[in-house]
Amino acid sequence: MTSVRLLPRVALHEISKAFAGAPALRGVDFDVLPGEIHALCGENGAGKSTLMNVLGGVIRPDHGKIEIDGRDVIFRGPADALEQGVAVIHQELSLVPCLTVAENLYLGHEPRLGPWIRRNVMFRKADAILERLGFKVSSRAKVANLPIGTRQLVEIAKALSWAAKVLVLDEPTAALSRAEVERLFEALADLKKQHIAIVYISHHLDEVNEIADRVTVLRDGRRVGTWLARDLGTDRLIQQMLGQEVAIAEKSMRPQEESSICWRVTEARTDTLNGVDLSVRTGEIVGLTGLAGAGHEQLASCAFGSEHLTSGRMGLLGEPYQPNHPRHAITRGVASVPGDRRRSGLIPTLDIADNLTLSILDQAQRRFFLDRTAMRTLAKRWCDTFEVARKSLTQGILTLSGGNQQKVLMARWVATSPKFLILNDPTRGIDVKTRESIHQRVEALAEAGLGVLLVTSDTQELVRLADRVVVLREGRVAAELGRLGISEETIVAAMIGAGA
Amino acid sequence: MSHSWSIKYLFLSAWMTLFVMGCGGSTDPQGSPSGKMPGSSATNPKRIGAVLPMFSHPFFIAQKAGLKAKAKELGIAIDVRDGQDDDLKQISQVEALLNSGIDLLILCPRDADALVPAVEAANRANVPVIALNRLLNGGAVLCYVGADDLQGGIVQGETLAAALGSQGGSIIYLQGTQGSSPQRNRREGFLRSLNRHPEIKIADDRFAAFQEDKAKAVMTDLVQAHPKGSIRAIVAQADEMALPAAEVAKAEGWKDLIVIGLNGNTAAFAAVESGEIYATVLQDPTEQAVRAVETADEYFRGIKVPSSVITPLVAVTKENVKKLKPAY
Amino acid sequence: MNRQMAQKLAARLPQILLAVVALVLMARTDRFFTPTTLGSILKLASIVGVLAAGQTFALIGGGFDLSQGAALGLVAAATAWLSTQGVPAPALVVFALGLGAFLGSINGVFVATARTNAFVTTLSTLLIFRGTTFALLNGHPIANVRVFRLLDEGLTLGTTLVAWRSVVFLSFVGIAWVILRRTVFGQHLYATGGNAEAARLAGIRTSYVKVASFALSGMSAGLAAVLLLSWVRLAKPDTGTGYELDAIAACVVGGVSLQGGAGSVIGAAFGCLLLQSLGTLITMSRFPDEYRNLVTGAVILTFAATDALARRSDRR
Repeated sequence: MTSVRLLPRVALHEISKAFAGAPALRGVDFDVLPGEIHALCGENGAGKSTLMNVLGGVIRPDHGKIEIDGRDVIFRGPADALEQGVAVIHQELSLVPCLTVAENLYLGHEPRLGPWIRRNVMFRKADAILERLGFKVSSRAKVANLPIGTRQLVEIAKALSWAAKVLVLDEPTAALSRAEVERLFEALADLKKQHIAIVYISHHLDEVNEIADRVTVLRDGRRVGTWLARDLGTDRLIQQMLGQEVAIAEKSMRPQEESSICWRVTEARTDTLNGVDLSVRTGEIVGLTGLAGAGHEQLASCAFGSEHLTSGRMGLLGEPYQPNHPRHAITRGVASVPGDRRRSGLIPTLDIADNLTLSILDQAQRRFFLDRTAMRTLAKRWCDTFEVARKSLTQGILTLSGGNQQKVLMARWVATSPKFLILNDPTRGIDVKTRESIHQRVEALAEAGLGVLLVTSDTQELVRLADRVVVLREGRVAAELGRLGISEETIVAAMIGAGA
Repeated sequence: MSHSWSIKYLFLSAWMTLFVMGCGGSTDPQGSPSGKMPGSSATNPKRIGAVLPMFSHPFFIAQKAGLKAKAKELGIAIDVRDGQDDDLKQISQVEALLNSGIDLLILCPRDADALVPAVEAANRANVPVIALNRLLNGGAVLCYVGADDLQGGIVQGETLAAALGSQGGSIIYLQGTQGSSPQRNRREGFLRSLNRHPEIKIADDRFAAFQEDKAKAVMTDLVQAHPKGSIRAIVAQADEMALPAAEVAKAEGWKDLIVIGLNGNTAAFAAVESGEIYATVLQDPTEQAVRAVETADEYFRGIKVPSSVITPLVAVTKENVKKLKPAY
Repeated sequence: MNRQMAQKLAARLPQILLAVVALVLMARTDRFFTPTTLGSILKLASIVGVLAAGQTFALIGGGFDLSQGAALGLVAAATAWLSTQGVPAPALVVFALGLGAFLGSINGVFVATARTNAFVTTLSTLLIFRGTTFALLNGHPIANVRVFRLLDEGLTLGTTLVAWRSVVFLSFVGIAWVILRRTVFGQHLYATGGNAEAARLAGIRTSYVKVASFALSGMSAGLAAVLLLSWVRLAKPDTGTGYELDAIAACVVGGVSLQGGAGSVIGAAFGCLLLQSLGTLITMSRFPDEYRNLVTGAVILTFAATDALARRSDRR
């Protein structure tokens, strides 16, 4: 396809944009051809989001021009961009859960007769789109009842219902299980055949290698370069993103077998768990994974007391352990870093210091009163330890980058000096450098004798960190992979129940 | 969290600084606390402060107009203020007027007990008080002008007894806003009168908030609850409830019903004339207001004023409706 | 840094202008900046001020308390009745605070455990409390309640009398500030209001925190009832009707977020004083009362809108 000079579906020329004097984009060129997947890579803060918002009409660039099919255009807003054929699918999906798939597809441009919606026409048209995409979803299904991966597909169908010619996908796989990712990729391959231009933004460099035709790398608001994906391996890609090489360390060797049991659960049952036995030794990192709904996330919640087992027993350091509330778990030396930072981790209204010290306020308490100076000192110490890049301790937590937010959360929990640490998706949506630094810290904690339960759907992360991987399927242990048996292929195979 | 504080602290500190400065500086004679009778020199035009319970009812709008018109006629400055249908807000208004310096206070209290602190504040500031329309249960008042709700209830009761005759009968009583002062006082007067007429029985009594729509809704239920012919009369604490109630009863086919309202507004006068309702009680807000300002004027001119000026309450029936003017 | 400050101030321009205009108008109004007038404003603001300080707890915790006015009425009625039975004043104060806290905790228990919406819960208890008050009083007011007459006096600063009510109001705000900013509970309250799920997962007993926030809101209604009784010496079935809205308005003007998790009790007190000053200013400047609500509403909206816009620009 590169042999013929095609007219780009959408082309950005010399785009610049500054926020409050700080440049976010500096003269960036970018284009995407019909039937092409063009990946956009860069670290957090490299300018990917800004570029995406320019494409989606959310932000008007200070300089530069936008062309669609060779015509100069100006986007007056997101609706205008959509009207002109550019659809952006955000990380946080924009579907209305209580409506049906068809209603969502046609939200805002319902087929109508005067004030009335022509429901039958709407369902028929929706079915046609879904069929064209090869999605096996009923247009009458309620979105709330669909798994997250299917919702992603519905979101794509919604974009196509607007007759979008350009699809911009922002971290589309962040919340998907491996099998769902496969299905998404199939759908994208189909769209390519229909000459849809796709901009793919992702931190998952292996995915980029897998499906992208071309890759553009941004760094500090500048375009570093554009390459054919097949010419650029993951290693070179990382190098281009960082401008330097990130040394991804080898998994460290930790002693096994002889250490004592840190945490264990026997015969765990809930509405999704079906009798799971699992144990974590001190100094061991145990990976726990599965497809969405396999029960691994719920088991982690139960271990921290935020959900409850209907039956089964847990033990902690040889003592019986039955947490009824996270507070109880914390007093027993259990910590859990939540996965969804925005929803279940951060307090958006509070500053860095407040967020960091939330679980260790007793350390800053003097009689009845809270010693704010002591609190500040604690926060400063832990921010320094975790190398949180910040302007001040009193800046709002949401003004930090995702990676630094995650570090604050890690610090909050490590500060409780836990004996057993549960990590839920600890590096979701985080740049490579921060990810590696978090991984190294987790290893250091394990070496210091903590038991670590790593709950994640990121198979690379499991390979990088886990001493042992337990895969759940439909509430049961589907496979337990020892140190030598861990690889992305074996994990995925166990998750979807093939072979293994 | 802290971003909006700067302005607030700025404002607060300015406020507090002035407050403290005022306290400190009050030792010199210039800064003598206000509230003392200011306009004692004869050259100053007198200023009356008046506070009514609320501005949102036609009765008090008429009262306000009466106060202003009469004061203008007599060349007295008057500032009429809204009690916003709340006891504390009415007290606040009185205090603010006292602080701004007035020579006399005309107070139509929303509540006879709750407004006593306002009268006491006026007493402390040596500002004479004329109580308008309602008596107060404390404090020193120069003069009372008007006729109160209690008497209104009594007039309703006596009119009803006369209309029903010696055989009496069952009646429905519609009351205003639950627990409000006119509701309680009109009820008390009415019951006091009925005590003398044991032949009259209250079959049902309901609250309808002095409002047309509430009265209609309540009455719609009541006509279902009581068999046709079992009720001889409806007494409502205000015309605003009497007229809709009569309408509903009539639509249901209740005949020879005696309906009595209170206030004497224009619509009620028309209804009395056409026979839709039997009677209303005229309480003329304009007349009360005029008499209050006249009394204030007499006081300013050094004439000794009586301790009460009673404006009569009149039952308005077909016989006298042509001779009287509606209250509002 | 200076540039940021300038931007922040620019975002707040409407509020600043309003505060300046208010101060200028006050300065130009005869007798406004006298100790008597300011003392009187402080005294008049005290009851709604105490409610606003209590409301701040409910709002910061992510709740909303519409039942304050009705709780005030019920506590006033019960306390007034007990006083007619000869119960001494100190015991009555304890009773009023306790009853208020109890009524508030009813709201809290429903919101925290049954997870009913705070708006609906407190709207229902508003009616329940109001109805109970009416039944308790049998429709008749209890007048001439003199047990709290000591509170009706004050201390003399120079020649100015500062009412004890004002002192109680300011002390309550001070205590509330300490609770919010200098205790673990306060910190937990901010966290719970900011993101209840995250707070729970951080080990905070969010149910207790919520119940406590409503209990404090109710307790403030109990305290306000004592202040009210000391002043008007009367408990009526409709005592305190609508005061919750004045308290919420004061909080909004003071920058307390209705979304929860943000705001300060000092702000709420400021809001209350500003609104009371505005009310007194309208009267003393002889501005026609017919436009009072219009002006008050415009002021509240200006503050709320400026806050919302400034917050949005902060987030960018």
